[in-house]
Amino acid sequence: MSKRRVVVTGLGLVTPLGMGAAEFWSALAEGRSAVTRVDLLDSAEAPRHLVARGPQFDIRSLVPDRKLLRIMPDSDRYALAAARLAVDGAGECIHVPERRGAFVGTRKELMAYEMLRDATAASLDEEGHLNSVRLGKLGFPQVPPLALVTGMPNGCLFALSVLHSIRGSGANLIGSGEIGLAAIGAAFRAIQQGQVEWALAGGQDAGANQWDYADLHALGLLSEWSGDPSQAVKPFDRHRDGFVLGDGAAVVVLEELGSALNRGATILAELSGYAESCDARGVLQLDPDGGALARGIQAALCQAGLSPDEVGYVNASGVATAIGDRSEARALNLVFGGGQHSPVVSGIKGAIGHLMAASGAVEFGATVLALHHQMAPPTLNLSEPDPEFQFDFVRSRAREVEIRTAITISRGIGGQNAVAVLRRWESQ
Amino acid sequence: MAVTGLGAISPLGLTAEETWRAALAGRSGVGPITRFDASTFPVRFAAEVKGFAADRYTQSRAARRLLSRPATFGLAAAEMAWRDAAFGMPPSRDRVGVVLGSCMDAISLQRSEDLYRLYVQRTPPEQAVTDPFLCLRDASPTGTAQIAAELGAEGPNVSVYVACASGTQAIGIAAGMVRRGEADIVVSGGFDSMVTEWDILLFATIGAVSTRNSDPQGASRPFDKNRDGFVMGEGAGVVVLEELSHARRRGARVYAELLGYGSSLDAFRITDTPPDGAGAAAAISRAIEDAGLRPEDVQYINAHGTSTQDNDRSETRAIKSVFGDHAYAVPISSTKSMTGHLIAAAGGLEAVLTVLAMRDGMLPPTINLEDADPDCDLDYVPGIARRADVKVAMSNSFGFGGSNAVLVLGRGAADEVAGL
Repeated sequence: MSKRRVVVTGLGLVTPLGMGAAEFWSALAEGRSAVTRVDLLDSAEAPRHLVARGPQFDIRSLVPDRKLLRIMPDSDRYALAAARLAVDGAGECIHVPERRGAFVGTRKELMAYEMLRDATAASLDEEGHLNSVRLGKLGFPQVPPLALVTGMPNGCLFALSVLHSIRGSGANLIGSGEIGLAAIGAAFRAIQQGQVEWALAGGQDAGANQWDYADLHALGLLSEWSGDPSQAVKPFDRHRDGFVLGDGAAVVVLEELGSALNRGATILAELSGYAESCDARGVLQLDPDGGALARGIQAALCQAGLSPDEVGYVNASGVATAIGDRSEARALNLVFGGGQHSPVVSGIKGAIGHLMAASGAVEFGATVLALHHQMAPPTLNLSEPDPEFQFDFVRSRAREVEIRTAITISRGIGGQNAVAVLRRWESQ
Repeated sequence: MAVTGLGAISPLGLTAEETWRAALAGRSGVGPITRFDASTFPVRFAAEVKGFAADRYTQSRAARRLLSRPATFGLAAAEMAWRDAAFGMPPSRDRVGVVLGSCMDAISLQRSEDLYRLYVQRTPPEQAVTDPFLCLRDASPTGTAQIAAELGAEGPNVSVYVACASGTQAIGIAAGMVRRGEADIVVSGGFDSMVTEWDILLFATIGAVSTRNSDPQGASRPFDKNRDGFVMGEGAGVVVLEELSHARRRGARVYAELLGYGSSLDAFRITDTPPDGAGAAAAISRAIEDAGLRPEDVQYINAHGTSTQDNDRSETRAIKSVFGDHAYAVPISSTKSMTGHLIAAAGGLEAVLTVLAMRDGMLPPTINLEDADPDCDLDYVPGIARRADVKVAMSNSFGFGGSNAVLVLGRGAADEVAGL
């Protein structure tokens, strides 16, 4: 069975750098950073928490369904807005709901915490502890009936299916840094195999809050940089000390090539390969030598029928942790080292922070735009590359470069790796 | 594609075989909640896993720190399935994937206290966390990642969550990976436990769970006129999927073949299925078509059968709309009548039970089906297990949020290998 080809025809980005792909790209190319220092407790204290907050926008103008919005927390709203932008950009397309799919990557937890606050407050004992007897008696009457559905991890998939008349196949994947790209990969496979002709796919997160900050700080993953916030995240730099959390979402429209051509759609890029692998050492235990990631990159290229020499640009995950960047750099060396044409490399987390479950999809979007504009976005704050990393890094400002093939890499906290291969679209 | 290994931890037993024997005997795994004091709760019973010695499976320090109770069920079931598949030579690590339907991130009471300090008492985030590993333990992908680490599985590693359809969707995604050659072997299924304080309360607020506190073992009564909701269950069900020629080359025992997978979205309402069962019917049709079969070929259906008013009625309609007159001839049973609803693990456990039904030529019953609902007038194998030669069977899962997933399984290759 010959596989169908898959192209990107719509791109919706809601990121700390702004609403929409155009705002995102111009700020990114200029080397702007959206990382700021805020006080997550909204107290009178001096701000000290580094985050990259999502843009302000009026969700009702994009999603005119008040009832649905009542059960959509911030991370879902970012995704619904991104989907609207992607669909509007892609233009008229197949209307048969059974031929449309939706694939979401998320990190959403069951609980929208605000919904449980009253029940918790009513049940705490004098020492500030909870027990089930008090919770059942005093807390239960305070649990709002919408608490369960508001917290559902697959709420966004549900909302996309309703808002965009999608009744074909779909999936909701849970993970961290890799999962937005994994959702795009799942959509890619569904179209390749003919399950659907058109799909919305992407990831969403809202990590710039005190809860996630508390957790990731406790795990030692966040940057503690005390200087200018725009210089906090330093992917591949020898002084890197972690990332900052960011908010946002990216949703793309993927389409079967024939159906995109038939309707005269604008094709932004071709998605020609996708693969996954896992370091398999457990959570927070990456393979320092990058072996599994290297195999993932090779598998994605092999699927696209391309060799490493043909890759012009690598959009790296670049999480700016000591081990994360080392492991990734070694994987790149295993695949591209010693080749005649080494690709240019950059990572965008210096500009927007780590959008966690959204990051893989946002960075996929950045890679699509790099192909479209024939320009590689910069890696901010890379002033002294770790001496071990011998790559042609794009630093400070975007660089014009001819790119026919690009790859984007996303990695999760449990050692999950996702790699996509994108090709510049040249009408034939 | 072959199913070459089975593993389960369920309210009916601590292995797949033990669970299966109890299901054939028509035993209920439901009882009073013992995990916590539920005396003030509107729902005081559940289908709990009993006698589970977690420390048998969490010998490494990392596992003890990082695995939640449901993830430990997942690890136990995955290790059993892996041993059951009996790889003489360890397979190439990068050709093994793990794709699991994993629990919603449950919030423990300890975590609720942390959150209260953060959000209400405004404790600085740097000081609010009492145990740094708690957020990892509570996060569902941790289980899938740790299971891969224990098995040395360096292929794709994916956690799936579409509520009650998670386990089935995971197996469908895993099957696609094997089919496309992205992995030779995928460990797949699901693990979950929502027998927790918050989860029980949240489901009670929407009236989805049975409140038959006076008769816990009679509470899960799929297709019965007097059903009043599902019974929360917990556990894990895991299968080893393997490319058929790979299984043959190594002389593996083949339990069954995975023939087809279908999924669909209802695009209807978040906790309700459309009354006509259209979305469910679409997933069923797609799975049968994917298997290259006709509806008449299906000889047993392991129903989603949650014991809620809506599900059982709309599932019956969906089956009728796809099968026509054959709907009345095909036996259907809901093992949730005995195991309760394992939510994200339900599809995994039900795939295991469906495979065993084909192996033994025995259909597990729907217990507690005493007064037929006039809207549910098919053959649900009430009360007592039944002998039946089944070559092709189907397992249905329909999730909150309108995600439907259906598997078609066949005995074909198992017969061949056995020389039948």
